[in-house]
Amino acid sequence: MTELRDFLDPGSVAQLERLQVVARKIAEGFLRGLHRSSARGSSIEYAEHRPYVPGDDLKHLDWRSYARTDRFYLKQFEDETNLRATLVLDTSASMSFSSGELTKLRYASCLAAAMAYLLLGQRDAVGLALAGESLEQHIPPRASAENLAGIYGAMEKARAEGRTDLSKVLSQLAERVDPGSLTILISDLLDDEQKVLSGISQLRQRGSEVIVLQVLDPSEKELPFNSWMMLRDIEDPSIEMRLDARQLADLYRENFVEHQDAIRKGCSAAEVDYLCLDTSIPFANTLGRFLHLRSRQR
Amino acid sequence: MNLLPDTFHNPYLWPLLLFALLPTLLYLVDRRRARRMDWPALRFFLTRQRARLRWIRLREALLILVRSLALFLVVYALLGPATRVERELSSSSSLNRGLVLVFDTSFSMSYSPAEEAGDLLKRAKARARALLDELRPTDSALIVSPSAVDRTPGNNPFDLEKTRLELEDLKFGGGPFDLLHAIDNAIGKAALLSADIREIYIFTDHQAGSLPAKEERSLEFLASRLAALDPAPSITLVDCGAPEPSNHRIVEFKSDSLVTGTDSAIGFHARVALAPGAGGLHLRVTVNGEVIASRPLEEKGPAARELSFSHRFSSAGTARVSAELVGEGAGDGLPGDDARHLVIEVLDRLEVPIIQDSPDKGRAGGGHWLDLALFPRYGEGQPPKVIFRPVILGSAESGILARSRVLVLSGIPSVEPRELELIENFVRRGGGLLVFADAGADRLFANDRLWREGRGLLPAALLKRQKAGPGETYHPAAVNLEHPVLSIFKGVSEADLGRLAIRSCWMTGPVKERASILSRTSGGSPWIIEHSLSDGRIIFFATGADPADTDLPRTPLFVPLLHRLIRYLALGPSLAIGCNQGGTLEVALEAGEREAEIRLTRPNGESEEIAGSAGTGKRGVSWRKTTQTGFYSFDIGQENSGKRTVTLAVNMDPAESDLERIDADSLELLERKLGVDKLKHSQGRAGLRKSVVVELEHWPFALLAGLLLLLCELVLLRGFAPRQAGGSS
Repeated sequence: MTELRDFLDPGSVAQLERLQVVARKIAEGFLRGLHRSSARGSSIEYAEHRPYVPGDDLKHLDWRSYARTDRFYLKQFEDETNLRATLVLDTSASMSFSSGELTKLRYASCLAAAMAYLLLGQRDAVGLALAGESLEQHIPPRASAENLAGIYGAMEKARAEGRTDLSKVLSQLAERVDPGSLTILISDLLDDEQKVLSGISQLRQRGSEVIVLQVLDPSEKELPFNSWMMLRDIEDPSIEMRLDARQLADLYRENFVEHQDAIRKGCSAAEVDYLCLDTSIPFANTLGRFLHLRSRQR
Repeated sequence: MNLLPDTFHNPYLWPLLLFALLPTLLYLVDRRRARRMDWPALRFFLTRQRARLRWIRLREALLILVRSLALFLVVYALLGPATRVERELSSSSSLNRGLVLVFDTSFSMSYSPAEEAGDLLKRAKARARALLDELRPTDSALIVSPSAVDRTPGNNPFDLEKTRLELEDLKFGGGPFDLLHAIDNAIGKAALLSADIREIYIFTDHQAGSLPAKEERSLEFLASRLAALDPAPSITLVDCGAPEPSNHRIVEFKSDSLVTGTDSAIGFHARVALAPGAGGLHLRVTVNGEVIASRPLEEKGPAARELSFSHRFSSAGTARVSAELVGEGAGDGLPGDDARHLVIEVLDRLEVPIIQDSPDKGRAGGGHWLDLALFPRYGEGQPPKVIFRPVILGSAESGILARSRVLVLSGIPSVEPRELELIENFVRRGGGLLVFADAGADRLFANDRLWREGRGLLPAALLKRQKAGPGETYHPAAVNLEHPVLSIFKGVSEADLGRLAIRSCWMTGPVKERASILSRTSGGSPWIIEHSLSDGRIIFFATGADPADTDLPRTPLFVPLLHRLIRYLALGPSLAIGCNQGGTLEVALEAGEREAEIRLTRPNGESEEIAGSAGTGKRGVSWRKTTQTGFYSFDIGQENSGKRTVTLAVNMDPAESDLERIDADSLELLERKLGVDKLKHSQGRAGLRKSVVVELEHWPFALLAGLLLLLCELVLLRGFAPRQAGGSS
């Protein structure tokens, strides 16, 4: 059975909780202050009526209107409700890379778990999507501990394999997420930036808020070698290259920076929060900074 | 300019060209040692940078090529490549010429070819004069010759006018000509020339003796010296010799000894080589101008023939002996070697000073027995031709030593240091010394003063007296009967010598180096030892000369043995040895002759007064101008006793008189190794050279190209330096 403490560093959670306290002081508490629901629910402020459809909760039926019009209407109220967040975890083979002890997938899983825990603590509904070559597993968002356990289990079973095709995965996901929901994409984004941004754009068009967390190993940002290397692509072992790392280091670094710039600019244009995370830095620091930044933007 | 070099100054550096492969080898080794690793971003990276990666690979190949080429060019520069370019030499040429003129002034150049008047040196001078006339005032020249005065560098050694004057003053002398040594010397002088073109001209008769065979190493050394100069001088060998010289010569003329007595004949031996076609020649030997022998010389081809004569001098004194070629065809181009001369010292009496502690010992002293043996009272009918005049002395006297040729020390007397010095000088100048060590010899004196750890008169240190046991005697053993003295006992008296009884003798320590033991006692100890000290000989007996130690003085063997010993020691090297033509004659002056008037009479009869010891710094007189062959007489006036005449013979060096020419192979080797140009003295007009081959060095261009390539490499490297990258979020 997966325990929560497998994914969360107590220290990092404590830091995040401290940020929530700060947020509550600024805007009426963390849960209410951070997200204003666009859904209708049960509240004291009347919003509108809408026709009943089978499956609607009968307790929201407006019996007075039924008496007057002989039709079933549901009474809707303006209410503060919880967020529906979907964590999209990249499980392509490139996520298995590690220059130290922690693979990118493990780091991303911890991060996702922390997010899920945090969101559930805010009574937000949390779901999970595992992104391989296609959308491999999707757990719809629910604000329940059982769902959270399911998410943990799925992440625990996730194996880094296959090639990355974020465009396809995000396109599939866009058909499933609700408008106004939050999609948190956790990936190394080692794919064509146009495809990645195209997928993000589809989510945005669907009305979903998107947060992009790029998880990278420190050695990935540059070629930290001082000799000839025989490199083989993790996702496609048929691709091999013998290169002089000393000569290509600059080009590689330059290329990586360009890629990140493109992603950053694309995200900015699509009003998507983007953060690059380094597996050598405790994720809680970066996450806390990110949530703090996001709370200020609101 | 020809891009391909004609020569490399440092061809031994060729293997360094392998360095040019170093970048490629390092590249391949690095590639082979590549570390394998799975990398997440490779596909992504390749997809983005495929075009640039292609260019990077191309740049990598370019870099390797550039580095290899740069290394190749640097090593190529080190090889010292050069192209030989011929440039015209004309008055309008802006190139300054510097000439080193080397002259062979050996006496072989005194050969006068039949077809022209004058000798070979005259030919050489004419050719050199023409060369100097061709030079412009800004050019420079220097004469190098063994007989020329070496000008000091500070005195403008290359001044043309001085060189012209020096050329006219050039004379024979300086000894045999060594071609390689001359080239070496000329290269040294050429290095001092600050000229655009350096030229060395060697005027020689191509005598075979001037270039020994198998001199490849020397030639390689000279080639390296030439190559080290910039500009490297050209060498032209101007052949002034006669192509087929006709010269007959007396190769050698010697006597059995340069000192002889009137009692026996002395042998003379001559070796003669005749020029092809020479006929009707005689070899005539004269003594003081009187012909004593004449032998016809039959033509037997080029091989030298040997002739021997013997002559018994009838009177004492200095005899001038000459061997000369006479006859119809006697005259040839080189008259200096048609006669050879000897000065023989003829003795009719010989003073033999015998020094012993007490001259009045009577029969008990060894001196008495020596005196008896040296001056036997012969009957009137058979007087000896050489009379020994022994005189027993208590000490050495300079006067008597000056007159004597041999000295006897009987019993090793304790002489004063001054006397010891006189005796040592006497021996070192060529005198003979006979030493008898009897029982009374002072061992400490003998070892400290006479042995002196091998530097003194004795051939070995005295250790102790060795006496035979009662009723026993030692006998001579291991006698060297091949020795000229002891050879009289060979066969006839051998047995008698072995029966001699030796009752006691000195045991000696190890004999000095180069001393020879002529006989030992049957006890194993050396009995007779011979050694030399400078020019003198010493014979040492480990027994006394009286009958106390040995029966020898009482036996009939003693007289012939002693006479033989004295003659052997006395007839050592003559004090009057001459020299080769061009050498230096030296005459030692005696104590009373330092301020004496000295008159020199040359072979042609001319005489002049010359300075004595003042100019030489030595106790003697030196004469260097021995250009004529024949007899040189030094008449030395003595303060109280009239005049002394020393006659010395000067002969042509046999090596100089051999006019055989250098063989073609040796000349070809010279040409190949040093790039020597050969030129006949009569070849061309006055100017020997119309153009000059100048070496254009490639190395500056190669080095520059190498450096430019290295610059290219830097540009290539910098051209791919990363642009300023933006920071990550």
